[in-house]
Amino acid sequence: MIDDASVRRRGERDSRSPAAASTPTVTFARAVRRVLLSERADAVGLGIALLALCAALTHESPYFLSASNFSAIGLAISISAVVASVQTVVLVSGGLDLSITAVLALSGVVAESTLQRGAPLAVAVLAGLAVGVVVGLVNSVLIVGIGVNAFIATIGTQFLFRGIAYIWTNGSSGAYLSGTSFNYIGGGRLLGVRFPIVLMFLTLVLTWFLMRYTRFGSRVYAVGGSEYATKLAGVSIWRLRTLIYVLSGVSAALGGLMLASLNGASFPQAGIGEELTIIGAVLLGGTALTGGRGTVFGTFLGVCLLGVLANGLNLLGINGFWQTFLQGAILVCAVAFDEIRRKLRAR
Amino acid sequence: MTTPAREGNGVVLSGRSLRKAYGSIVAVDDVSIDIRRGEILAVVGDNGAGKSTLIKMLCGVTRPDAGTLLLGGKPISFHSPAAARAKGIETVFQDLALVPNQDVVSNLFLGREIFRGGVLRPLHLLNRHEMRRRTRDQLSALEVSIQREAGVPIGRMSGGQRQSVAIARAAFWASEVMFMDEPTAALGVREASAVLRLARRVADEGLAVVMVSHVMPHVMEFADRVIVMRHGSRVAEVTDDITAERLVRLIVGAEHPLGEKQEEQ
Ligand SMILES: Nc1ncnc2c1ncn2[C@@H]1O[C@H](COP(=O)(O)OP(=O)(O)OP(=O)(O)O)[C@@H](O)[C@H]1O
Ligand SMILES: [Mg+2]
Repeated sequence: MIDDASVRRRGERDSRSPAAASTPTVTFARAVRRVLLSERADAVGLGIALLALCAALTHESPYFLSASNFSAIGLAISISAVVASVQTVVLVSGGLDLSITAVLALSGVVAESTLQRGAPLAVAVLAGLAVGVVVGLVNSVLIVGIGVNAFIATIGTQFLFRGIAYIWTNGSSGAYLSGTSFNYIGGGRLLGVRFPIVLMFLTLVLTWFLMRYTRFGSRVYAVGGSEYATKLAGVSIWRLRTLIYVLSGVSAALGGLMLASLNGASFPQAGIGEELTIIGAVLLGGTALTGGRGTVFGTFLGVCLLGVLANGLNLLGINGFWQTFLQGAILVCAVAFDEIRRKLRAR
Repeated sequence: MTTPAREGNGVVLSGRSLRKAYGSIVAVDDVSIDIRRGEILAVVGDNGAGKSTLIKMLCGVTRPDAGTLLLGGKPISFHSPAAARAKGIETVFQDLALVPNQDVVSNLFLGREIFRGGVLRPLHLLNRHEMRRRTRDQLSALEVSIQREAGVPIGRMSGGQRQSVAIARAAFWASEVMFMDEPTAALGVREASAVLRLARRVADEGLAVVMVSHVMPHVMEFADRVIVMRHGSRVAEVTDDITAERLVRLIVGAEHPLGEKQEEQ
């Protein structure tokens, strides 16, 4: 019975006030505001932008709307999508992992040298993924165990892991991978679909499912909303956060294996600076850097938008520098839009 | 005072000679308290009198420096709020400790989720249907009508609604005692009295309810028994009819209680 009346009172006020001032401008402003504030505005806006971009590119280039081009786009975004889908989990939990791209390089380097020592493919893959587990644990010792700010901790470990990759390889790229069974990860096909694209969808579906239907996902949103309340509710925060950073490391390691396989070689300098592009795509997809909000589907749309943009500029023969500029412009608009929405909602 | 306290029986949780010091500040000094089933016990006192500290020792947030806790007459100690919760003791913290970006159902079951059974059980898949059903049952049992707000994040609800959710959650899981630290501090008059009626229903269901409050009219109207604290000590326990004016005089130390053993220093 509590608030029954107060809810009604508020409802009345809301329904009364438009009538009080219903000039067309006010009505329009109100409609715009309602659309902007709705829960789904992120995904809807992004979906519209993506469709519009696709329509424009279809119009401009005859090659755009073809199976082979879409396969090319899929291949190009597969690694970002694998890493970004798990970064969604990290950001929703209120965490941050900037070490992902160093892990990407290190896992490739480790897998390659394992293979070079005569180990079978499965062992090399496991060794690469184990790198992800280890770095995830190192990150969580710093962030969860000692309590270092995630931003600072993972900048540090980014250099640490990148440094290990350089020392391990003495700075040179290995080319041992081409012509081995390792190629299958990047070059193989499953039911006609390139294997990286299969891995991308597997990762996306898995993280989407985890976030949407499991206790883990529900607790990730909770801890991102209020760590204090989640802790008081009896959830083990360190266990949850450790698992999140391990997943983050493993996803980056998987990305590293895909990249090394696609290139037929591992590079200690692979993916430098890409962590911000990946996190940018996650933010573009409507995930809040402050935690508590975000969806894997939104991230997928964000990654797609940036991927289609790059592909389109390529098809149209536009200078690659424009890609960097436009990526930045889109991201800046998206975060500005998000902030405006937040302010409007708080009013 | 609505009903006279029953002597001796119905005690679920007691503290004996509890003491807690923070450095040189003695926040709670040699305080004993009996908490009874079906009763609303109010703890009143000036700012810094030690009310919150007393509650925190009873609900597992802080460990007493000295003294013992008895649950059902047996000595017990709580290492954490979770340990107290496992014994059926729930607390509505002053800041409510709700997750703002999640809805009522998720908040009610956070940390104690219900899973789908059968072979899928190890996957910890949420059984949202069941959680939603139990939330609805609980809210209607307590006559909290925020059903239509299901799915709305807690952060978008009014202060009174949030408070009701926090109380509904505590009452849902509590089997012995529900503590509330200043449950009406942030609320308007109407919302406050609705929240206190809710606490009354929780007590009538058989739980022991303990609340810290600064609002004398609320204490007068809803509490069955009042413990007055001053400078960390228990200076009075009032069960009979008392005027608000006299209660305030006890709180500020302008009046010394009759028949109370503790003396004010
Ligand atoms: N964590 C702490 N560290 C140091 N001192 C504390 C701590 N908690 C409480 N105190 C001190 O203990 C005394 C009692 O505090 P407590 O919070 O129990 O009072 P209270 O009766 O709840 O007051 P209020 O009505 O203001 O909430 C105060 O002097 C306070 O400063
Ligand atoms: Mg207090």
